[in-house]
Amino acid sequence: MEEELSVASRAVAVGGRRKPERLPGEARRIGYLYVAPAFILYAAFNLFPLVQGVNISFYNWDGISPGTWVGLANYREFFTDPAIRSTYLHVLELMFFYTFMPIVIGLFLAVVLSRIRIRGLTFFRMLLFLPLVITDVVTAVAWTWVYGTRPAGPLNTMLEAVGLGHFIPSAGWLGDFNTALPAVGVFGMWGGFGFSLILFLAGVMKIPASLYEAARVDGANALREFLAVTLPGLRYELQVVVVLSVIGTLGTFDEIYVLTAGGPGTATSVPAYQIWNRMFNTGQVGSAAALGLVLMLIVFAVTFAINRAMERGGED
Amino acid sequence: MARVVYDNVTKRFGEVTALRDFSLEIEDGEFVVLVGPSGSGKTTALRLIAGLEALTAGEIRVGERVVNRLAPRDRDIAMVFQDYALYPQMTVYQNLAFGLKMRKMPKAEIDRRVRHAADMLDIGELLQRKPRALSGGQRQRVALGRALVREPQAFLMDEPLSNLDAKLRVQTRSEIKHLQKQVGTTTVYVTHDQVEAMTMGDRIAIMSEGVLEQVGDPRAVYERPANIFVAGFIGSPAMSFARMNVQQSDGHLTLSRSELRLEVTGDPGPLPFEVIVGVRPEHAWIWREGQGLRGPLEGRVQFVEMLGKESMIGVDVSDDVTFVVHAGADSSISLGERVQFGVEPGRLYLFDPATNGALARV
Amino acid sequence: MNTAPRRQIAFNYFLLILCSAVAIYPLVGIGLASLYPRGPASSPSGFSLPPTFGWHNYVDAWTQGKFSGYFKVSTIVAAVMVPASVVLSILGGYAFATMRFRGAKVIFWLFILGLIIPTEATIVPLYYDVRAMGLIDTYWALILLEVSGEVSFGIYWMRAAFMSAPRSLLEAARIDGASSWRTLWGILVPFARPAILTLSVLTFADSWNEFFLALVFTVNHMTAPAGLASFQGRYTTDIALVSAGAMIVALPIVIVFIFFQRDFMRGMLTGAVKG
Repeated sequence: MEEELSVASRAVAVGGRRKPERLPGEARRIGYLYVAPAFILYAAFNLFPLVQGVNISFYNWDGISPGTWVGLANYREFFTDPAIRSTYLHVLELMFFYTFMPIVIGLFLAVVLSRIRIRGLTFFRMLLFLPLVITDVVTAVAWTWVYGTRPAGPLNTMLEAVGLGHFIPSAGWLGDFNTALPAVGVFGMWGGFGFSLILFLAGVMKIPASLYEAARVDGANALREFLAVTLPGLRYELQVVVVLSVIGTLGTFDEIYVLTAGGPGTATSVPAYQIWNRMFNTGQVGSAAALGLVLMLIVFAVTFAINRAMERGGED
Repeated sequence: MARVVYDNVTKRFGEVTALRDFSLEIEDGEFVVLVGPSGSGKTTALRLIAGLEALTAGEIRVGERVVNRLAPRDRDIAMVFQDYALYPQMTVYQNLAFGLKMRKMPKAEIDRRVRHAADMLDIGELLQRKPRALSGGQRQRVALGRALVREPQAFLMDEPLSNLDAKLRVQTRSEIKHLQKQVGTTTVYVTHDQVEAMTMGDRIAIMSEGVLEQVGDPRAVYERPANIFVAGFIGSPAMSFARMNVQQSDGHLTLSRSELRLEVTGDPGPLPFEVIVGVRPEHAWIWREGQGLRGPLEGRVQFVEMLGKESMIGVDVSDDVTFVVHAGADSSISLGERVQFGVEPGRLYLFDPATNGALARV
Repeated sequence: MNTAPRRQIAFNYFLLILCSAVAIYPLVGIGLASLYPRGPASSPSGFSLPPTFGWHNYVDAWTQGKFSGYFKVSTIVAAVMVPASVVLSILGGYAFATMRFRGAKVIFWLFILGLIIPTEATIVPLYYDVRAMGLIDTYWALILLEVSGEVSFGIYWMRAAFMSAPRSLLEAARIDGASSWRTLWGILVPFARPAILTLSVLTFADSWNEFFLALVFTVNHMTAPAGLASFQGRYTTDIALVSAGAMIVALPIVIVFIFFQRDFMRGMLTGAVKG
């Protein structure tokens, strides 16, 4: 008892914190040496620029001539400038295609496909993953061809062939104010469904068959089975897909640049594109810095919120 | 001189005390087994010698050197791990040579030692194989070999046999003991299996909840257990216990509980009013006249375990007190039968209910 | 699993084939398109085979289209960046997995933070920093930025890999007297070879596919993706030519994927635990 007291008091004297116990002969400082190279690089190019970015965001700057101090004006724009808000609205709309649809398709297909043992699953997995693995720019180029009007790509060719040619907008799918964003969305849906399908398929395989049997004995039909066994069993995979795709969608850039360049007008502008645009094209560097930091905060908040919500919620 | 000494060693992990004021002197060349149930602190005690944990208080000496602050590599000890911990990407030869290579030993010397150990352990043909191509028993030998080549002042063995199947375990037990006698290195051996401890140790240290309960050679620990824990831990099947009242008079003792009554001659000195009586199954026999047994005690048969050469019979004597008694293979006792049994003289162990300590043997 | 009726099995395979076809159709499409003759007159519709199987588009893209240059830049960047990033991750992951030092937890969480900091948050100051260092349009800009961006995941990954090694292995090494360096390279790295391979493959993919950084930091010496985007901007209507360029850019990553698909998928599926 007395010994415990003395140990405790020593810990308090050291600074209130219990130091990690030293093993005999353990070199304590060497850990820093191993971490240093990575950390120096990381701090120099990831952490330090954050601080710099905060500084820049307080200025109105065109990148060439000296900037003028404007305090929080760039941040206030977030509430006043409709162009900024619209980028986030666009991203929200994209999430329907990038997150929601792949999940729905992936779930449905996973449930259907899990009923049989699939031979050559590795081969199919490879094909389904291909869109995700190949450079975004390449797949985007492929889709500009798919959506192509003059010369006609496969989509328009097919529509013409079945007599639905009048649906094709004159400016092309990617050039029309109404269809541009959904067109980008479909691209994302195509890119994302393979991943969620594979993830869910693997997850469904892990659900013990006994749970389904128990449900069946309890008299559940297919829908009830899905809601009561499958969905809860996929909770982890769902969380992963939602978090990854939401964060990915928030940072969408490559395909916007290639498919639409934010256009027509600003119909498909997204936060990342707007930041790039303001930095290089419109000379609003301070604003770009501010927008970058705001995007980061939103990503943090969303990640936190999703993880919180999904860990707490019992069902979907 | 390669003694290993624990001097009032205490080890705490945060709030939990794993080892409490542990003192033990292991002589040069001795094979001492630390045995006890899980959580007894035996593995912690071993790891403290190795330097894989730091002690909270006390001293550990290896060969008269205080090693508290020394790194494991400087303590001149070698360890055999429960899961063997063989380096998976190295050949058996490289595994054996690794420790020596780290100590910058000349290649010729390394080669000599490795081959010598390989011969002793009969693994000479396996030297170029990798661990994953070996059987469990072979891996275990390599683990032993790794310790042998180091020629340290002490071997530390952490349950090296528990991953082997029963038959291999028995065989390897004697091989290890034989090897140790050949090499003569002080050895500290940890196990939870009391049979292993009894057959292998020159001395056994029985531990429970961080405390050393008793240390002594197997016979001493078996014949004269220091307390109820040791008495119940050593010996299989375990000792049966019953709390009984004592009435003493000159040269005579009456132990009673409900309808049970045992009259015993002898003068074990002053006893408390209540004692815990312990009897080993091997000393309790189904009653037969003229055997000189103490008793008879009577009860109803609760279970019968046929072991081939003998049977173990659980007898319910009174209000849920069961004595395990043994009978010859030819006995035909059945469940529910009422039987009588007696105890060999001098095999009634009396313990103090307040301290659990041993009082006397009558 | 119960044996399902034949019809259901057939239907399932049909679905699977359909999905796979949808997944690769656009890529197959431009693959075929790249074989068409050049010029706005030809129209690969995606439903017919090309009239001739000519590789001239590839040659044109490679030489006149400067894709040889883009390819070279991407290759050099990846060749330096991948080993550097993997080694740094091994070192850092090792320290976090096996060593105890003050502030380790804080530093580790700082790295983890990097997993969710988007590039856009730091791109503005980074651009001006790099310009001030005179490194615009150099290999170093891309290499340094890509490595610093990759170590967060790499350290997380290697730490997990090293932590899965049995503790007794490290303890045996300590007793044998191996230094921390020796233990890392002689014991842990061989043990974690699959994990290191997966990390290398994923890192290569990230580097080869990196577009945003290339766009911002290169002007004349573009990487393959940036070069492709610029190429497409110049030859918008020449589908066949642009397709050839796209195929050139896609080829290395597809080859790596086919050869290392198990590692790739394992990395993508399990590495999705971040956040």
